[in-house]
Amino acid sequence: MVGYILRRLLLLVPVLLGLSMLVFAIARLLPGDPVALAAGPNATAADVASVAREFGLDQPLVVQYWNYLTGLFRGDWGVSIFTRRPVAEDLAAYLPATLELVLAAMLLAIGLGIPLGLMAAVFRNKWPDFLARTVSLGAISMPRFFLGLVFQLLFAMWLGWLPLSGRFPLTEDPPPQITGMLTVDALLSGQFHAFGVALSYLALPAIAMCLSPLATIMRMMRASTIEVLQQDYVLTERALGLSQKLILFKYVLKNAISATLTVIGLYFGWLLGGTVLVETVFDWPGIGLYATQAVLTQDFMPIIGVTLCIGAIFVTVNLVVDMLYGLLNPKVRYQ
Amino acid sequence: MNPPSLDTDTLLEIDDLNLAMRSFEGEIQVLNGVSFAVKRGEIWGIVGETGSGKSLTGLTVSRLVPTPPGRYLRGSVRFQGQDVLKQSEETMRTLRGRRIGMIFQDPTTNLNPTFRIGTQLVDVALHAAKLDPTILGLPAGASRRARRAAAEKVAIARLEEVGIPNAAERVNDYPHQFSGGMKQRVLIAMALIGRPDLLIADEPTTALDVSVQAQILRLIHGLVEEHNLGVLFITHNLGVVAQLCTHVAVMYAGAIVESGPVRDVLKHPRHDYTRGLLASVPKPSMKRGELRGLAGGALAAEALAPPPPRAAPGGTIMAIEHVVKEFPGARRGFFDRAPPVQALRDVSLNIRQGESFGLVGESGSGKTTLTRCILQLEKITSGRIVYDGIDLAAQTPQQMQALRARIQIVFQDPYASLNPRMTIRDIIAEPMEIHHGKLGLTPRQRTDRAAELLEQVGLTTQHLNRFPHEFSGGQRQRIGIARALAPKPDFLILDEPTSALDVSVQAQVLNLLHDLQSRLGLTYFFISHDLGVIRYICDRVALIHHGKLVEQGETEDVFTNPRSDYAKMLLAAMPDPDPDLSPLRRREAVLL
Repeated sequence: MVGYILRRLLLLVPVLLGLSMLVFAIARLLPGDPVALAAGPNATAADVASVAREFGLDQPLVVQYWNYLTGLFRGDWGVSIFTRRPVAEDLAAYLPATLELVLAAMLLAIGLGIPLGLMAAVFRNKWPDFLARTVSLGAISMPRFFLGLVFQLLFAMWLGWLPLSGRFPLTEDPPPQITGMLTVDALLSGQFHAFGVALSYLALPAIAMCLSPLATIMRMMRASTIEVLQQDYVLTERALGLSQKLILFKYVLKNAISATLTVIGLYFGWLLGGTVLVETVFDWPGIGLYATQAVLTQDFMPIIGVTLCIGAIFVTVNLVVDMLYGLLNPKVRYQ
Repeated sequence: MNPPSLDTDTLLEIDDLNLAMRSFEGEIQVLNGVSFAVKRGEIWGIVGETGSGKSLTGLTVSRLVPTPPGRYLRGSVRFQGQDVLKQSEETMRTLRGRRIGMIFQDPTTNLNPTFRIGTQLVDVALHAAKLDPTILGLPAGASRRARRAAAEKVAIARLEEVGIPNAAERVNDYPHQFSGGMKQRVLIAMALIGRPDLLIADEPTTALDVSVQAQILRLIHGLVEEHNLGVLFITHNLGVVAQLCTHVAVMYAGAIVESGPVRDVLKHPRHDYTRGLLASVPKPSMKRGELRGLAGGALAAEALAPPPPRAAPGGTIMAIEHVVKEFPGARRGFFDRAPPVQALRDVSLNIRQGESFGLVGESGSGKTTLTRCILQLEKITSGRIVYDGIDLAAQTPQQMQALRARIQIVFQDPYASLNPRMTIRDIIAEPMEIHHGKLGLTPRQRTDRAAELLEQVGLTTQHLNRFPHEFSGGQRQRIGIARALAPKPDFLILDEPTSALDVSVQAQVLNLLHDLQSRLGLTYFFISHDLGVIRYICDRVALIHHGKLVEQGETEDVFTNPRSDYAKMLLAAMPDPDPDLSPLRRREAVLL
């Protein structure tokens, strides 16, 4: 088991290496000249050349890549041409915000999706099932940014329950930085007021983001629960008098959840890479906004940095999912 | 009809039970006035074919038939005096697992695969103990922890009772770590944990090998003697009924056509259907072609024209010489592997042109591996397989492709082996397209030949444009045979072709195979675990056990004068439909 985890972690190396190479090459192949863009509209050819020299962009591509790679091992993710700030610093500032948002959305999606799916399966073709299916279809069909706008209108503008946008008010003291995720930091340092404030800012974007994974998880859970309910062993368990509650929440749930787990792993990566719309609508300072800006200004280093980060998190999450399979299904053996 | 009795020994009285099921075609009555009564110490066999309503009768006793689609029209099912059809779901739960234990057909699907068997047994024990605290042997108000510990002790004791070795350790194992027979024992232990008065067993041995079946039957028999249980034993196997049961009810189309003490019914059947059912079980005294199938609940008429006599077997057509097949062992760590698994160990046989050669073995014995090797779907590790003078392993893929037209296979499961999206015409014509080089038929001619083949296997040309789901199991197997015959083979591998079929349908298919062999001069390699079928259809037979041939010879010789211990054991374990010949009744410990 430990050997298996180590081997899987080792696999991260070629994955990230390949990813960095690919992104490195694609970023350079894009039309347009980022150096000229960064040097400003009135720059002379000499100015552009000096900027290029400053960032090492006058060297052959292979050398540039090698320099980047060796830099990574020293914790140097390169420097943004546009902001002239080290990418590592930017990532440290923006990544936790996105992670917080994605984690909150996934927690909501899992926490609601699994029980709703179970309920829909048990009341199959009765009103709770129809209701859950109709709402989930609506949630899947509605674009996230649109839902975000509707929520803002409803909860922030009309009802005034929650703040419109942003992550934390400037007028208040943020909790001390530990993980970078404000809610977690506030809890860790015992600042419950700050936690409440951070949560109120987190609520709307997280809800807007959780709806499509929530609907998918619910539908997966419903389908696999229906399948498990028809298994022979469920009839045996009923025939031996076990209560419906015990059968459903213990014996059926563990068998039904495997398929859903795959979806959870995939959605996690999908949300990480797709936060930009929600972050834009809610003015949430995460890597989605950061990456978009970098793409628009053809700023290589942030693009590569963000891609590698998301790639690493995605692979790790799926490793965790694979480990969970082993916990759920005793037939899975790690070799 | 049994008059209501006040006999305290009577556990179960079913009276005029009528059940209807809603389906797409409207409501269909599936149980039609079923009546019988089970007393303590009695083992009632409910026999019938697929769709006769025997399983529904069993499920009704625990009221596990979902309503809807089910609807009880009339009648009562009294268990120890109370009508289960009138009880609340809560009351029913106090009966299930505590007063009524149930076991089902397939032990591999009836244990929850993701929980240790101990967990499952403990939960059942705790449930039963809620109704009867004496099961755990604890005073009332014992702590949760104490109850759990006691339940685990009871679980281990019950596992030991049903013959699971090292029960104290094995409670921590998962279902997939047990063999099929052991799983069925675990399920029996689960059903017995609440000390039920009535045990309902729905085909509990159908998915098991004969030797394991014999063990399970002995176990149930012993439990009845020890605990004075009543048993409802649902099966399609008359041999099992004859061995185990004290009484039998024969069901046909939702009704009991005949019931009574097992000897009376099986020795002196009064109803045509019972007689037909008995006649369709292959018996040692029968000659080939003498089996009679059933049609519409009565014995079918004799075959219209008896087939021409078979030609005497010719020379060797398939020689299997010292075949060894090894599979690589499981990976252990980075570089290490477990030693290879020997699936076939030095197997040698000669099959003669025009004969039926039987291969008998239990699950995991290597039967299927051998057929896959013959078909060159697996590469043999060493040895030779020579067909008609041609070493199959030495052929190029193109040469082998041409040879495949001559060696065809009929599969076990007629439900899984026909593509559900293809019409019967397309299914039968497919091999003709693949072997276009040999046959050279135009699409029109293929359709004609498909029609001709359908008639040969007893179906009609009207069936050509239908889809597999429109046919019964027996008809599907006929289609499978027609497909195998399409490229005009001379060697047919029959891999358990009748084991998924009811006995009366099995009889029809066996007769069809006999007829086809006589007419077409085919050679059969007939694989089965059913000794009765092998004896009926095969000229010679080989027994395979753990990848090794333990005995081979003329079928009659092997059956009347078995030399190996394995053959003797298998023959002893084979349930005979004659109640006087059943080992359990003879009280002689012939079985393992």
